[in-house]
Amino acid sequence: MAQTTQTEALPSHEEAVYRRPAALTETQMRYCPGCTHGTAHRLIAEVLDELELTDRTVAIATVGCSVYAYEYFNTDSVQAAHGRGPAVATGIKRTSPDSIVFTYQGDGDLAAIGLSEVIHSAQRGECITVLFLNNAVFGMTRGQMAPTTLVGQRTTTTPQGRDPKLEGTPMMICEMLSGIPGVAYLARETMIDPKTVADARRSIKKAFQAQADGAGFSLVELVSSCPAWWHKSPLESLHWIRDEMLTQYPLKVFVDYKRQD
Amino acid sequence: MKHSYRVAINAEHCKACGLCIEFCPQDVLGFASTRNDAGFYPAEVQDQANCIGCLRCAMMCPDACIEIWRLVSADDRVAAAESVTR
Ligand code: SF4
Ligand code: SF4
Repeated sequence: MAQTTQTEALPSHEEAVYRRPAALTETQMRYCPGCTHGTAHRLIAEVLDELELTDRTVAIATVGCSVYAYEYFNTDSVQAAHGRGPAVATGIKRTSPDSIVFTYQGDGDLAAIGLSEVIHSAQRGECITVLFLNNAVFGMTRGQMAPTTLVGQRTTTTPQGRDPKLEGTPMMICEMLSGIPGVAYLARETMIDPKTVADARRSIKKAFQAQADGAGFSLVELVSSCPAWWHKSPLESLHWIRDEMLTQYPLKVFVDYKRQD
Repeated sequence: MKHSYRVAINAEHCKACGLCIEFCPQDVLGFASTRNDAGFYPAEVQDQANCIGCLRCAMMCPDACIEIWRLVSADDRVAAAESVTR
């Protein structure tokens, strides 16, 4: 009976196993159902919280579906003109070197209009972090061909499928940047199941760590979904990434400043 | 020791993408039968007792709608206290 009394004196309680990260605001994200932009935001926020960087982070929102990113992160933020994210990030990082500065860019923003900004930032070894969402279309403007569109992929501007003779071949950003000495961390990840989500989180964490360590430029490409303009369900979109996108864009850690090789 | 969990879904932020339901290995989740304010039939917990706290649903949710708690019962706490003193 004494045991029972003791048990009653200790009320049961709950321990949080997973909470919405504090680095996300309570604002509902405007992305379409099942779009992995939201997953990427959540992972970035989790990493900023875990590394205790949220209070000194400046997010650079760019142009595209993620244009409202400044409303979603509980950080300071600046909205950059189309493609100019890494240039704006450079200015902020150089004038406020204690800040952690990251850009969040889609493939339209980074690989099309903003290609020179990201290459030159990498070339200068700018100590910023770039999150690059590659979903192979311009999502915000209703699914036109992007530089990253797969060969044969139908979009509103390639109704017969992308023809390499007419429109060239998909742009491989990580491969382009991988030989640049100023790059400290460079990886391509995706978010199609719990394992790849965990892998993506680990790479995002390493990219921010590279910046916090002052090691140089870091970029994580996230092969992402666009259920709306791929005309697929959220789950079918993840399968399409697995079966089609990853054939063109293999997952890989290209550069890791901590790896000796 | 088998733990119990409580999964909480923000029904107003949920866009009914179904990924949490697809990736739950325990068939804990399903779609609700009434719409939220945005017009979606949100995900809901339908069989909480089956949950093993694996977090797969929360890892897949693109809208950060899912939070998970472990229930620590009075018995667990007594057991934990005893294991420390032993
Ligand atoms: S924590 Fe795991 S078992 Fe529980 S509802 Fe989520 S996916 Fe299912
Ligand atoms: S994954 Fe999130 S948004 Fe999708 S149905 Fe589940 S709770 Fe709703």
